[in-house]
Amino acid sequence: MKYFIVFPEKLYLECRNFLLRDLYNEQFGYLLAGVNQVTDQYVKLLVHTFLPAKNHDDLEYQTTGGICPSPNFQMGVYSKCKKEGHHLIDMHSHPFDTSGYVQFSGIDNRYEFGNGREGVFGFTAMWNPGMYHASIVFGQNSLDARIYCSEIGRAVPIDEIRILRSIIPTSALLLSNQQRATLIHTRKETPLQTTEFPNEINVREKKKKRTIFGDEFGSGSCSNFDDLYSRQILAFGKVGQESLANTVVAVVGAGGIGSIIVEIFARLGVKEIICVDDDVIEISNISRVLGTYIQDAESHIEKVKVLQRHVKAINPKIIYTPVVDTILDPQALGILKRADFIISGTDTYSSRVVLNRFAVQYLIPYIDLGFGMETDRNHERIISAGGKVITYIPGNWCLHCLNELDQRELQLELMRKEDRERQVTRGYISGVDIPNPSVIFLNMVVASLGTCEFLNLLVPFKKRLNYIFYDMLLTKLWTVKANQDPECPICSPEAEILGRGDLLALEDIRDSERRDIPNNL
Amino acid sequence: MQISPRKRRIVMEISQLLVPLYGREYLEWDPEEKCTWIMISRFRLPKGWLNKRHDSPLYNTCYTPLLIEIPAGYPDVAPQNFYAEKQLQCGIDFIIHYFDQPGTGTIQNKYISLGWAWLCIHVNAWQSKTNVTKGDNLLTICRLIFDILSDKRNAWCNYYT
Repeated sequence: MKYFIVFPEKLYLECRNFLLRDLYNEQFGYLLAGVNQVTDQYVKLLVHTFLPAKNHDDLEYQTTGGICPSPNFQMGVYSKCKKEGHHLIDMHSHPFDTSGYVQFSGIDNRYEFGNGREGVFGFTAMWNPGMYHASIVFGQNSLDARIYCSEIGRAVPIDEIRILRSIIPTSALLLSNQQRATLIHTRKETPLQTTEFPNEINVREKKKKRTIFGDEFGSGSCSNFDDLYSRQILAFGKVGQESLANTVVAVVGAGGIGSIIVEIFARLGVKEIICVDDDVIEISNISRVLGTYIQDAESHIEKVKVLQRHVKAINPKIIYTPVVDTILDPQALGILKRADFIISGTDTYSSRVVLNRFAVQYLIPYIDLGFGMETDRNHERIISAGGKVITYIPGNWCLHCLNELDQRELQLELMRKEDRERQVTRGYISGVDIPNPSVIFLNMVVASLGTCEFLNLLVPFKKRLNYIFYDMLLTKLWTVKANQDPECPICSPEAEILGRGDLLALEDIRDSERRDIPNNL
Repeated sequence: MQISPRKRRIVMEISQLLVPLYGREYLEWDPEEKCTWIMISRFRLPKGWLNKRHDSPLYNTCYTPLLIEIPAGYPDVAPQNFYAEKQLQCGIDFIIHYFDQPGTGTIQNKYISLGWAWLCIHVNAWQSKTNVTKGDNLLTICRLIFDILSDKRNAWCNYYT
């Protein structure tokens, strides 16, 4: 079982600034978190709310060497967790610690595990059995985290803390390879600390150093990891390659753009690709869907299955999970919980709505790719063409804030068959799916731009561009500035979706059968 | 126990927006998790509407029961279908013809057989907000419906806004 804590960047900075605001006194606060959990695999605590002990009444005592929340503050937070279904993380600081390896003190151990009396971990495990209870200690240059496992009656270290950065400081460009290497810490001993650097994208630590040579990654037909990825290791180092080899990506849509992304990921050497699409290969797909052949179209093979064959031919060691279903199905969507990143190459508004909400709910970075092309009436000349790459980092603005959803299209995509027929009968829509023009080279540009942004999230090497617009006819790129809507019903904290994880149901947004109503007319 | 954000939102809108306007006793909604409809039993009509129940002669009316279908994608997706009494008329010679159409071909709508007349709104711009009193919400739809029914000559067909 692996344990993670995931922070939106703003919240992380808020916590850090609060806890280290006074270098002479320890500070304390609680974090409320949702959970993304797959039994026997991992538990990710998704931080969404910070409750600092700001007032004098919130603390029982506060000194340079110790701090304790007041029973009122404590019980207020415990009750809130129980009532609203949150999980809990205690946070405090050791401002005196300037080492790179801050540790929980004896006082911390007594507070959490008890000493002759019950500790807080034991108390909450009994009082609210379903709740995860973790704790973090901040030093000036490092942090340390652990989580209580009631089954074994003790705490275990958190494996990884992720900070979803929305801004890469330009100083990241100046990081040398050696500095980058320090972003991933490898210690064989039980690692309680996670060193925190001011310029990293996310802070990772491992229980033990991974073996990157040999069987685990990149063997296939090649003898070792270096051979297979030697050229890209020269570009972003072994650390970057190892990050890729530990990353699970979900690709939604296995068509013109999706197939290219899948191939790029397979060649980059990610750990696992989850590919979702319910469509089968048709003859018109062959011109732009990578890895497909005429016989696939004749046999009506599912797109994700064709890509499975393609990925396995590129690198048989990559785990490929095909999902033959639409992303609108909550069951298919649920599989994406395991992903570290989501990239979508679909052309529907409904899938964007679903994925955007999902990314907010599970704090998973999401890259949305799209393209468009317009021709003259005779379909002989392209009059406009382009694409866009939107990178959404939870805690920042989301697709809903951009207000780019075409409401009419969205309604049409989601309406019942009978309603659609009625609209067709009355002439409001054509009833025929008119194919849009599409060419492989435009798809490739957009997919490449998207995967470049993905790689920049994982191994920062440039300033992040959250919204890129590409004009094919002018051969130009623009960046679009977007702002968070403070009233956004999806990503604003008040919407209570951000980081709620498994607490919120994944809902099917397709209209289903009409339900019974009271016959009282 | 998982929470449905959609249901949470709908219940919030009903309690904060519709109950103060229409009264709790005149509101009923789908009790199930999917919450696919809301019924306002006394929806105020604009002037000029007539009704005819059973064998009664035509009479002026100010109210109609109103049924609004709430889409599964709400609040990202705007409501589209709504229903009123099929006997409603907006003039002696001007019966809203769409009201009593059961549909053609394979189109079936079980609410029609219960005496409801089916209308729809095509909303092109829709932006809900966290604060249910701001942005677009169920009250927006009720206001749109009132506007549609005020604009009688367009009321018999689908309506774009």
